[in-house]
Amino acid sequence: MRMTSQDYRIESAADLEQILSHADFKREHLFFIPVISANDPARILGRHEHVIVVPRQGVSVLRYMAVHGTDSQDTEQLDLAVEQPEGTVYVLPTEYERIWSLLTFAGNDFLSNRLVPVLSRQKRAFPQFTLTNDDIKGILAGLDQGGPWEKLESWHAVLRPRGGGGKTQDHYHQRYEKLFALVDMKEALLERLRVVCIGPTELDFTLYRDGSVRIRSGQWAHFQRFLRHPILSRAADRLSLVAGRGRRSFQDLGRPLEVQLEQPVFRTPEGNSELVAALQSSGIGSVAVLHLNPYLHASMVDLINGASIDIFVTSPETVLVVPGYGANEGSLLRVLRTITDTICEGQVLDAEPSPRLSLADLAGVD
Amino acid sequence: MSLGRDNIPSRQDIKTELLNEFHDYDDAVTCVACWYYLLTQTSDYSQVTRHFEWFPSIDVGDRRKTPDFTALLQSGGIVAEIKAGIPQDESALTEKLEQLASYDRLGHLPRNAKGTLEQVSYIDLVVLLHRRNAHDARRVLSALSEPGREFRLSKPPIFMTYAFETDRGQTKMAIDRLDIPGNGSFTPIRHESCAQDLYRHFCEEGRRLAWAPKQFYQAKTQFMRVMNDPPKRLYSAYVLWEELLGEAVAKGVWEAVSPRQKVIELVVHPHEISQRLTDKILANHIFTIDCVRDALEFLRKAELASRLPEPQGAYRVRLQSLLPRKSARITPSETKDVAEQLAERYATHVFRPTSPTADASVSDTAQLPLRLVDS
Repeated sequence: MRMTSQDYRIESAADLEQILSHADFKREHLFFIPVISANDPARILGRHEHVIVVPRQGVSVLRYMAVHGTDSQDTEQLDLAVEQPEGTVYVLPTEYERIWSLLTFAGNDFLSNRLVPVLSRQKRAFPQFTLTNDDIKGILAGLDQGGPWEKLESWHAVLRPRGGGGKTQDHYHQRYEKLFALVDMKEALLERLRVVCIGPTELDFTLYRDGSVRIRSGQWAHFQRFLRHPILSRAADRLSLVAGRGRRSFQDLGRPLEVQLEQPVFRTPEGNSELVAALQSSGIGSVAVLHLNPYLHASMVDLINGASIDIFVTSPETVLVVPGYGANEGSLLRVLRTITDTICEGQVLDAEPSPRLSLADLAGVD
Repeated sequence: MSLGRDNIPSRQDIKTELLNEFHDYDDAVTCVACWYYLLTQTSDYSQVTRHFEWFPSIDVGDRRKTPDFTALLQSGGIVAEIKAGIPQDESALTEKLEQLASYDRLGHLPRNAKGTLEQVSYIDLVVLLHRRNAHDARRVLSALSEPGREFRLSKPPIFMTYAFETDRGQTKMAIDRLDIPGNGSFTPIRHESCAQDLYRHFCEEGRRLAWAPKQFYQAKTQFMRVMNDPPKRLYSAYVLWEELLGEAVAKGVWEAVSPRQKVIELVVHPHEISQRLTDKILANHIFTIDCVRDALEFLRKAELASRLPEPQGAYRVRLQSLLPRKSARITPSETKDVAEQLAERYATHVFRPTSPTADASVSDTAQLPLRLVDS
């Protein structure tokens, strides 16, 4: 379906839906990318050369023209391949505010050389969200229990060691429960996972940690119900947790988040150093350590938007993230992802104000 | 400062001293944050304390007094001074005694953030020393009671110590009243909400207090990680560095530079930065132009800034992330944060092994090649 006459027939989101519900994904894989953006991503993506935005009712059609040669400034800036493949991307709003769906039938070449690099470089416009291992497990459990198929098989899983570095590992043909036992045992991050649902009906897809999905076969309605919806609702939960927390004035303080890790990694001083190294390695911000041991207080400047963030280790398994001036959802998602992807999986919560203590409490009658 | 051979501080000595000073300042900020929590958030004191002033600045005649914090209680108040330690020499000791005597005589304490003063019936003068320098307290107390000294305090200051402690993985800042002869006492509080006051707790029962990070983090971040002493050298350089970097990124100056060129040059006017930082803390005697200029001088000596010709008094700062190269995977033992990197650069450039007599200003002549200038 690349740049075919079908694109020109799309006059509304309903037309696109019509095409998708009859599409044969076996012939042409559909690729879905959830995007967080305060503004319509079509307007941001359309600013690049060789992209034509065709606004339609409830959907924007982005036509990426093929580009030959490296003479364009755009090419140089984006570090793209000499030959830039063509492709069409559909940008749709979702039922969640500030969350958008990007859909395309374009091939790997277009995705990895043209669309994905632009999305990942526009970090300021598109705060990046990631699924945790638990999120992925939950999505798979939903598929296993609710779908019209007999069994779920993990055909290919790519595991990345936590903390970056190290080689990724491939695991083939496993029951998904077994796979998650392995992921837990290795304390690894599930980078991507190809799952085939076999039964009277089939659904074959690859789920990526950033919430993207490649549909290899199956029905549009099943994708909507078992993948798109659970992914978007998780993105929306995460977004509402981190939104509107920045500091506004001297009195109007940032609202802190608490990360409760699954392991008491800060029981030893090495845990604090590991967290500092993780924040530095992530490259998301400049890090200053005000106090390292035995408790950690670091201050960060987010190099994407200039925000100020304070990080405290408040107990052997708790990190407190205090948003300062300019800290928005993008900055917080970056910091939280660094902590949970590098150190240990954990639950992110609104930091409850501590109960009012008395002098006797402070005296250590605990 | 510990000295190396030939009494010349080594590069490592300079770096260590800078970092110690940096962390001492941070501990002092934490100490103020603990008192802030104690006097404004606890069930015993939240109704007793009428105003806690984080940045007190009290004019007495033509002199300005800036104790480290003050608290206006029901009729009296607390005035506190935090010192990592008290210098050994006689003139420094005399200066300290004069300072304490002047705090004892204040008579008025701020009752709001605007600095409006209110008369108080007594002042409990608290001197907080880092626990490693607890022994300094005896020296001050005995000097205060020496015959012939003209410092007559209305009552002895209360010497206390602060230090971090870890128990079963939980770290807390602990504050104790020193149990030494002649040490001062808190004035008892009579208020229905105050079940336990500082007098009973510290002076009668000889107990201590300890704050977990959950209790002090909020004040520390609210007051922008600074206390009522203008930060010195490395700490002021760090504050300035983060401010400049944040501003450059927020305004898009940073992003405008191609991703590989990780250095941008900014022209910085001390009075502008001083104003910006002052606006953030709502107190004008911390980030003075002198404090900002000192920070810029520190960066200049670390070869991260150069001075532009007068009359503007501006500096050109070479801003960079100070992060390791992207390809490098950092192991925890190699972690060098902004403070350590600034200290290291300063120590490296100030240290001149070939000319031990040379002043740090030798680096004045080192002009940096200019690449991208945003003026």
